[in-house]
Amino acid sequence: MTFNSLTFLIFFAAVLALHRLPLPWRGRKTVLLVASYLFYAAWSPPFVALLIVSTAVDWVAAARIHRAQGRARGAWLLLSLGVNLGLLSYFKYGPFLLEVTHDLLASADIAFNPASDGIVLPMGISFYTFQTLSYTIDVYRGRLQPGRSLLDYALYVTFFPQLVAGPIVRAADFLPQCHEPKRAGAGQVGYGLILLTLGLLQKTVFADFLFAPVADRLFLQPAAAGSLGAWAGCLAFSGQIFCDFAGYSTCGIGVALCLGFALPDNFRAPYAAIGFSDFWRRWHISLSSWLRDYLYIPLGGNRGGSLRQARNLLVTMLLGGLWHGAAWTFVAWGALHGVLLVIEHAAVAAFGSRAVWRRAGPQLGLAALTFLLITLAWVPFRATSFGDAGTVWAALIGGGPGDAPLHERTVPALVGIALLLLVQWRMRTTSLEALLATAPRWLVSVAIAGALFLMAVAHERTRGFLYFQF
Amino acid sequence: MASSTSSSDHAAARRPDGPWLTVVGAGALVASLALGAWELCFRAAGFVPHAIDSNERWAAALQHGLEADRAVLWLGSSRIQQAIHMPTVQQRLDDRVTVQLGLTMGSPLPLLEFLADRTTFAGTAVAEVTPSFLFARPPRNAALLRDAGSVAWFAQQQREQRRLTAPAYAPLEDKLSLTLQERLVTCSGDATLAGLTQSLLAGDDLTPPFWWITRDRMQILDYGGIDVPRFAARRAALHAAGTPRDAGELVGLVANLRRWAAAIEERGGRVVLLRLPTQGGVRDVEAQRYPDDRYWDRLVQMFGGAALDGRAHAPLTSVRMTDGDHVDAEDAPAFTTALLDLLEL
Repeated sequence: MTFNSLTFLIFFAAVLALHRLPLPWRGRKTVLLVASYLFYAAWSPPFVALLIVSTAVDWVAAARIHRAQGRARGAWLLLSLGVNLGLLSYFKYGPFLLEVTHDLLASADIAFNPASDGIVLPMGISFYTFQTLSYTIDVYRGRLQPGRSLLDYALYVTFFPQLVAGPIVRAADFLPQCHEPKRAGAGQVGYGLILLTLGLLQKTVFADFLFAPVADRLFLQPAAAGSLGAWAGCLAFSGQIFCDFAGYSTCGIGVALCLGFALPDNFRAPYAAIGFSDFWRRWHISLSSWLRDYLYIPLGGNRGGSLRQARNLLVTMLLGGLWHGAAWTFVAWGALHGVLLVIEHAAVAAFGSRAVWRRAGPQLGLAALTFLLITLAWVPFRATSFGDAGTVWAALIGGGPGDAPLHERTVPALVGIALLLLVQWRMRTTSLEALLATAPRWLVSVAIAGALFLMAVAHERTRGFLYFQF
Repeated sequence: MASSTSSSDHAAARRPDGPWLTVVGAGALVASLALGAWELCFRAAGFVPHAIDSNERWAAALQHGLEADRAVLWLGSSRIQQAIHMPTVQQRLDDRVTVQLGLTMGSPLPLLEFLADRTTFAGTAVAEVTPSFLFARPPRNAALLRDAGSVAWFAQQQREQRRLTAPAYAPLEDKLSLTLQERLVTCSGDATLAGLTQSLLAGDDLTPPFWWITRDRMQILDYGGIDVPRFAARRAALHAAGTPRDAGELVGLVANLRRWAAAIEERGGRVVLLRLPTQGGVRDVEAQRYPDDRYWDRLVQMFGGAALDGRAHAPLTSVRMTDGDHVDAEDAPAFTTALLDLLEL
């Protein structure tokens, strides 16, 4: 269920109440585990079996890796990788691979018409697969001891606040939290509710109400867009995807905190990034750090010269793009970011040492340029085809033939984007915790009231979270 | 510090101190008071709570109809949404699923094409023909293409659902949201910040909507608070807009209709074209712009299938139609009963 659903509010109230019963810690963890399975079953009950398989395989594999010697360790790791990536490949990339095969064979005049439509994508499979993979890989590398309790490990894999759309939590962050009895104090519950409110505000008011209609106007009918509509739609989508995804993460972190668990931050003012390396340290942090630790560095990272680094960056970003969706447009989005990162590394190597770049004006200019290029790169991410993406880019430079009227929320959406950028620039070097610690309590209460009021009166039809499809 | 086994240096540090629960509680209390005032304000202005008609609700109705055996589907514009009294239909056809798929300013064409392509659909499709929506050339106005948009949206959802599957909790969520929508004006889509802002920007008073949709997608039009002559004139003007199709275009349109109807009927289904009666200025405009001998009669003749002209049956023409365009809600049950008799349903 989504955090912005009434069903979730009832579910969460029940879980919170059960979690606060005077049960032993093991009993309360069991309650959370059962609740997490229920949360997942609310989407599709049969897919709970997949979660259980993934949990069981990695639990056994990690334990065997820890005990085994020599090649057996590698064999158990391969089993874990094979099962997890096999499931991910079948469910997420199966139809895409069949389509690619079909196209390749068709180009050689070979008929191949597979029936791929029946493969349903299990919710959140990309997230929990990466989570469980990090566990077995870390145990294999000797950087993590296998968990002592299957209950704790199962809770780590299925913990509902982060199950379907992250943050992708590492076992080293989560499992130690299961050792000590946890019951959030009033401060933590209150702070968790603040985060939940903030996340829902981002999702329902900013992403769904303000930005989505303007972005949809462009991307549902790109050929009809004029230049102004194309710019408005692209900027609105930048706002939408941030508020949608960061909103979900913030909700997840808040819900976890209400239950006494701390999840890692997933976003830190990414649109205030100065450069693309900085952007990826601020955007979907749990994924970018996963890609860094389990793909980029094993590939060689920045060792071996600039050409090798460029290759490693491109491979990492291509696969990162593919992680987001089984379509060439996502691969292209990843490739674009890879190229931008390579160019940035070359530029920094050539000009980065000059003092001028550390002045406020150039920093602001670089941040604006970064945001502009990121916004342009979102086009293939959102468009359903390269043709549509090309049409949008053409419209941006005035080549669009369309004259569709602007959506009535275009001006508010553009004001919203401006506000978002200002807030992110302000938050660039600080955190919400630090900000709230110094804010007058009454002002926070007023802000909470305003957020709740806005959510009630500025609602749009309920939309799913964008990142659920990944 | 973030390390190779830890994705964040913030997780462990998230131990906020402070009376945050009190802060949130105070905020929630203030918000509740403000929302209560908001609700009362809109109710005082005459707003009533009702279900929100959305793409999701329309798609759910269509899905319900597609899943049922021998379902009866009502296709067309707001005319059929207002004329068909769904409780009466459900009482009469208690062994069949019946769903209202009409859309404001819609035509049945996109949905008929969609149903023809659905090889499992073998029910009855009653396709209401509003001349200015069916016999006019496809307009550029996006609102007039809402039916096509909804079908496209549904098809997109279907494609996505093949990969994402509909959540198992969706029926519960729908019940919960309907419960709120039918009890609170704030939740029923009219008392929104956007609506208020638009009213303020346009310099209009806060005017409650004079029509709304029930949970089974039946339209209720309340003429009590509106200037009826002006409204009726606007309806007539609406139907006078658009460019009528020429004879060749009509032939192409009917060829499509025949092909879609044949596909449905080959599977044991049934398609009935239905012309609802109109009165006053709307009737005059339709007669002038879309004369029967060039449009409706030719449509029926070339179509060759089942068609019912409601204008030829006294039980249907004798109902009250305050705006000349829609059957008054009070007369909809009697109208529906008579129509079901004529359709032999």
